Amino acid sequence: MCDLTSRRRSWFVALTLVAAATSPRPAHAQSTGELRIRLLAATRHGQILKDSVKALHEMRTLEFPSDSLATSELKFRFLKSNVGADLQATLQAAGTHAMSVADSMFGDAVRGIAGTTSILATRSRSRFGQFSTVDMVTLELADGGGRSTLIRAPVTQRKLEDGILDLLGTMATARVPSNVIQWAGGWVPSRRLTHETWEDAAIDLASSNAAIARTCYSGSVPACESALGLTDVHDALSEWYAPEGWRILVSSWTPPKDAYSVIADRAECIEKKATQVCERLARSRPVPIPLSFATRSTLFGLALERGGRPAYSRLVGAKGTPLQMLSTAAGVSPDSLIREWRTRVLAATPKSASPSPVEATVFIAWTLIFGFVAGRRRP
Amino acid sequence: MFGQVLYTQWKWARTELFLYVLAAFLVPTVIIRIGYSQVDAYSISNVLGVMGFAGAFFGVLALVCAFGLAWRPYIIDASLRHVGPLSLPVPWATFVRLRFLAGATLLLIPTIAVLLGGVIATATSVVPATLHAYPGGVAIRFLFASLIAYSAGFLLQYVAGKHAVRVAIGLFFLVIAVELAVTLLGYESMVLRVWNVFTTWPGPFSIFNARWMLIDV
Repeated sequence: MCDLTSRRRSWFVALTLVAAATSPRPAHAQSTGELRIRLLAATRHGQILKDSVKALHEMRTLEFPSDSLATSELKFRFLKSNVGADLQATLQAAGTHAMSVADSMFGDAVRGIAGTTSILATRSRSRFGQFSTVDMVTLELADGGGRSTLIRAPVTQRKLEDGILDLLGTMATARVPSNVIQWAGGWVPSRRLTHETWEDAAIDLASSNAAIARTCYSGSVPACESALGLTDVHDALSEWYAPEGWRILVSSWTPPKDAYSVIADRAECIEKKATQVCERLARSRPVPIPLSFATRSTLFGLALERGGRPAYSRLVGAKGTPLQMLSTAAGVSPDSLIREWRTRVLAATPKSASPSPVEATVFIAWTLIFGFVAGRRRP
Repeated sequence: MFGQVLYTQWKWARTELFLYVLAAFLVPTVIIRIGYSQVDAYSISNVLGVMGFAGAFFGVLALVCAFGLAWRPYIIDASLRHVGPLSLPVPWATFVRLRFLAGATLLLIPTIAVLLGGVIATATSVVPATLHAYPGGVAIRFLFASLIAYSAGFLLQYVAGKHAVRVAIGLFFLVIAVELAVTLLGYESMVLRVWNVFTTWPGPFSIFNARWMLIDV
């Protein structure tokens, strides 16, 4: 008994020693030299990773045959042994449908866009921890292009279509004047805008902290143009935001932990509402365009929709400011385009009000059905 | 006959109804007061966040009210082996419908509390210029949502009888098991599809999927 207790104690002591030896060491301050070395190492690792990805991409480009599959002008490259007959058929159907959707946005230019480069398709299967294989498909542009899309299991035609449309949007972006792309902050929309996208734009417009967005909401077209970042401003902070908005801008970012004076100023701005301090802090950072990239993309999408099939071609050849180019694409004046955009945004405002008479009737019908069925069984 | 059934259910449910009314009346104001003290009323996205939280409360309250009113009468009847209802000079189906109607009528009480609570909460808060108050809309949504949940709970209770809890738990585990199997086999989620059928228009529970915002765009 005594021997057993003694053995347990020695185990306990041994475990304690191991735990003490392996426990995390207390953090200590790092010198500038150490930080510089770590930063250089991280940068080197990042570069190595980037090079590896690039090398892998180039390897795939060389390895995959150039004529794996073609639907209209859209070309896919893959290893037939990797992709398999089933996915090949789905990919073909998805490609055909994606081309018809993109055709409604880009018109005849879609053939040229799709012919820009081919799409590399890679199928990967995972069995780890699964009863059966799980498919994943990666679609990427053969010339790099900066965009690839991963389709997770279950791989459906719809998901493949979405991936292909994203890549077509990327290909279409390369031809559009760079200042429009810079303003939009994303790729050219390759599918029609959904109600949800408009709804998000309506929420963004109504909930923006910028005074200019509220003026746009009230009906001013020039204010809408400014809120969308389409007009030149001399002083973005004072032209877009009211003093209360400066405070919100300051409260939306966190200063670095060791910037003690900034932390103190931020607290003074937010808690004591010191306008001058808020202004100074807000000016120390780039002033954001009041409406988000997603909201701006609704105007981009509307211009393409409004202009019909030749809209994209007109946009590619357009000159001037982003607003002028969008209006050229839409085939209407800039003010008409913005007015229509505002109307569409406000019309998509989500309804928090009571259900419509049709909805109410359906809900009452469901209630009555449930109540009627409940009485059919005796206890 | 309906008056008697309604009176009986009122007697059984008045304590919990009082609690529901208190919650429906006070909680929106309290949430908005606390929420507004934490956020800047000028920051509209924060205001919408607070309203979303208050909206979730209304959804939960609708479920609690509904299931409470649907299950309690059956449990009391079952404890007496349904002697009372079965000895009445009306068929069982007629009696069940009267019970159903009486419970649905009682749901008007928390609905009125939601309306009054919403009116007071929004009248005493700062509503930013681009937002609007919807106390009436939320109250009507609350009424429909609680009616749907009440009728579903009532259906489960009166069809499954004394096994209702077991059936509900069994269904829950069945759904988990099916979902697990389908996920492991790499197929598309069936549960998600069924869930979408029930919770998107014109599904019965799509009312819960709507925006329950006292103050909204």
